[in-house]
Amino acid sequence: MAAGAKYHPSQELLLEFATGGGDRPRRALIEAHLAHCADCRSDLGRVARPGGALLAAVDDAPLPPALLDRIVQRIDSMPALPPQPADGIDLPPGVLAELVSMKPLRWRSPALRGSRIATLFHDDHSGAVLHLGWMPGGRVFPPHRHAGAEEVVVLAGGYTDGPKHVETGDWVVTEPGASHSPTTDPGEDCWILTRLDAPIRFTGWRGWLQRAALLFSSITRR
Amino acid sequence: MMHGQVDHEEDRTLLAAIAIGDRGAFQQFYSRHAGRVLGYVRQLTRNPALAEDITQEAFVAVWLKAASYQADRGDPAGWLFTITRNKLVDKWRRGDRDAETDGAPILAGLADPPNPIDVRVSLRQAMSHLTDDQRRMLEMAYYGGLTYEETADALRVPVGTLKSRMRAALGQLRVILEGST
Repeated sequence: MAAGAKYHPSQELLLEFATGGGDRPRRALIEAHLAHCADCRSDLGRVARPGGALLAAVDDAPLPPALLDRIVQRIDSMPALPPQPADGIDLPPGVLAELVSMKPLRWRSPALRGSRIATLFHDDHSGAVLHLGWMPGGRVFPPHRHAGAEEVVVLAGGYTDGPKHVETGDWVVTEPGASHSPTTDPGEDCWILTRLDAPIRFTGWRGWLQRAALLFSSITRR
Repeated sequence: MMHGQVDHEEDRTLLAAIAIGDRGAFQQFYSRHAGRVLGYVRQLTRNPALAEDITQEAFVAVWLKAASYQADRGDPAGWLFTITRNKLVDKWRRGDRDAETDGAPILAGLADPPNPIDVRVSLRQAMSHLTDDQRRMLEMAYYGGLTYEETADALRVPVGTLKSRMRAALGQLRVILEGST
């Protein structure tokens, strides 16, 4: 989106990203936002500059002769370009680079009014999960509550969430404990990348179904 | 080696070529930077084998992420620093305790500069303009071997406060560095 995003990650998150912090789901989200936001690319470049100066100041270590060979072997063992995980959306290169070892997607769409959600990966250290989501235009995502924080980058299309309207590239945060039910813009598919600290809980009859399914799953695992 | 504007331009050209699969460009980029990346990681890990592993991961990431580099993301050295830190922090997170350090300031490990225009002079001079607290904080969490959580704990401040203070200190450092080049 040439016009750029309206909503951005905090400067603290960009600093964390520049210094190697943040889990993989958040790095992928920031890469997705950067692909659409020249302002944040520029901010990130400024924050990372002292790090570049540091690297330039470090003495060269002698390189083991076999190191480059090992790197080239690793590269040879990977696909020439990381494959796009889903038809209908082209993930930015910085996001794809985080998905190299990903398994084929398993889409889920129970009781979601035509929407689909797939898990891209789970970060074992932080417990956060990155999801890819798709909704047709003009649909309402069922009401749900967040036990943990949700961070979203809109990859395509847009949606309205309460007073806020978001479009491609926007970074959206839903705080823990909040409930919402976003509505996609009419006439165009909406794709999002979502980082969740904790699973969402549907409200209403979907919530009953979800709790029943969780209970059934816990019983059958015993 | 001094990194001036010309070097950045050459790096940008190489990254653009790597993005379309040019192995020769990748080898050139490796030759230009791998020694310093390895040196930086070695100073933090003090484990040669682990440092090689992290350097290997960093350059595989360079190959994969070159297409995401855009000139407005700043100079390629800063971009490479971010990638290197990613791989280092990933190792710490995976519980590879060999990657831990004692948090010793990396700047203290730098050799004396060979000439007065070397970039390390600029960096040292810039750091000398910061307060002791700012310098310590940057050495621990930005340049050194501690996570934000560990640094915040060591300095007895909340993580959020640490990040805000780091942002201010980095902003100041950047202004000083930009004024010195």
